[in-house]
Amino acid sequence: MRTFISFFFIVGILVGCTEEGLHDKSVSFKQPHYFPPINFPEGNEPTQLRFELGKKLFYEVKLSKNEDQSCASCHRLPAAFTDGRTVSSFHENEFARNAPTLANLAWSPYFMSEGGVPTLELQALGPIHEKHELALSMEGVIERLKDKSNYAELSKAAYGRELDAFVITRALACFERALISGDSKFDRYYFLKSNDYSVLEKQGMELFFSERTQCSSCHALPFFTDYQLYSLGLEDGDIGLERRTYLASDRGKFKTPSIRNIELTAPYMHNGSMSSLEEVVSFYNNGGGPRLTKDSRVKPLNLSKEEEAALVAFLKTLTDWNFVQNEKFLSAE
Amino acid sequence: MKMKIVNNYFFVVLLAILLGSCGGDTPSTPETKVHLKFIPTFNGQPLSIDSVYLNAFGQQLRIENIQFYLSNIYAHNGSDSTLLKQAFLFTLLEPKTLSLNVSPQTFSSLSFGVGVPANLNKNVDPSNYANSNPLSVQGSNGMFWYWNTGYIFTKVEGRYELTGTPNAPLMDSYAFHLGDDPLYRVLHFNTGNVSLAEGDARTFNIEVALDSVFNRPADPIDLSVDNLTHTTSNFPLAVRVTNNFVSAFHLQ
Repeated sequence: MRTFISFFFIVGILVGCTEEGLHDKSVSFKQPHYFPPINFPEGNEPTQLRFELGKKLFYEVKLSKNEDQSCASCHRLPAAFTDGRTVSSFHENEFARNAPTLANLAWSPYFMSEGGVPTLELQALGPIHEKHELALSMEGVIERLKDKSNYAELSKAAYGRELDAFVITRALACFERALISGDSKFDRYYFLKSNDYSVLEKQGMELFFSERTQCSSCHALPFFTDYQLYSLGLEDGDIGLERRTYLASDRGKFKTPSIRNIELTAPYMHNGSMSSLEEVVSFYNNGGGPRLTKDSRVKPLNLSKEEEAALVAFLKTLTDWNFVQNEKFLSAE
Repeated sequence: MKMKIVNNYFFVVLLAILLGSCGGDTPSTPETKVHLKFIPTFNGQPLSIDSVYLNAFGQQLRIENIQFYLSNIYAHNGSDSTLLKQAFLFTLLEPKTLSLNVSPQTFSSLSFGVGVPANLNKNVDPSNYANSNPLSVQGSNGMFWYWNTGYIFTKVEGRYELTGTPNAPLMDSYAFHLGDDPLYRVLHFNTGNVSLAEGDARTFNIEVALDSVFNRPADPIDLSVDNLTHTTSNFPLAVRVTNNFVSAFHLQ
């Protein structure tokens, strides 16, 4: 039985009508019962038109300087909103990083690998201005879009104001909050008591949640992240949290990423330095990297090859195929 | 009878709203003008973006961009303080005089912060401000960090060359982008007793002696070593340049 045929809108209440005739209605993002409620920010509660405007902006290439990139260039649905590249910068720079998944951002307490952005709305400002990403400016975006297609009409209907920085950031955040993923084989087995789980997958799951590996102490349920920042001991030029705190003890610390859909989000680590799940599991089994700030839980695990394979098999059960095939998240154009 | 009471009630409320919204007969608040004129200089002469200057190490430099926030601009009279302006963004290539409408008063000193105070800096969303506000997305004019939210307090950018050879091309770039709460500084200036009555205007010239950025005797900047900081990328240098920069302000 498929409990979640589609994670999407279930409630519609007529709340507005513009002179142009666009109707908006409040919506709820359908989510698994084992996820906590979403706390929507005041003034950006989800509506149909806010979602549609956000999606339109998400796929809009006019947000980029050369009109050839959009948010979706680095966050593609089939890859669980990652891009498959080592790092996502369009230009060489010292802080280029592997694109994070956008699944379940509605519950993230902060954003960016250093955790320096407190809201999803604020995060939307970053890629537009960042010279290594879309490299335009909010002023430039508004100038380009104000007469294009039906942006002005959508903006008025969705937020009751002209298209501006407020509307653009809110709409993008509204769309991104709808990207809910919790319908994996693991979820059906663990939360919904399905019997569809192999011996190897069960073995991997037991290892994952064991004291021996402590994987789940950071990749905690239900989102497979505790949102805290740690160092795995990886050494490269990216100093991570130290950029914010100026503390050498924070060097190389990054926010724990969710590993839901991890089968689809290779390559791995903040710098995309590992190409396969086998490589990742082996890295942990060998005690992580050499950097001195490494978290004490990252240490040799003495896993056998069979146990490594079991962990990989378990990780592959975290894929939510309905999520990555949900056409509601694709551009309508 | 009940309907009549209700009707009368609505009439009174309507009248109150109409009167409240009509300001034509309300006496206007008496005002004075305070102008703060910021004058960028180098070695005592007006700054020119086309001029080449020498630093304490004999290195040649040109200043191509200066932007900085001033905030919490206050006038003080004893223990009384009047907020004149919450935030102001100075940009080298734009008008450099801040004109403020101020109620008649007496004061003996002015103060302002160089940068943006903590309560306005972190965890704020600039898209909540109107475009005319210097703290808004558009008004900040590139003076906001998006990866670690907060304002860039000061930008000093330009080009340099190390040999000091006259007419040598300035091929290399320097950039000092200074921000974050620990770099916020508050400056005080004695103005002497200033009494402003209705209709009065007073201009204060504030020199911004940019040679201090590079040549402050206590901590000159050697561009061969120290030519780039985005604050987090080189915090010690950001502190040094900040201390040099805030020493550049002089009330004339």
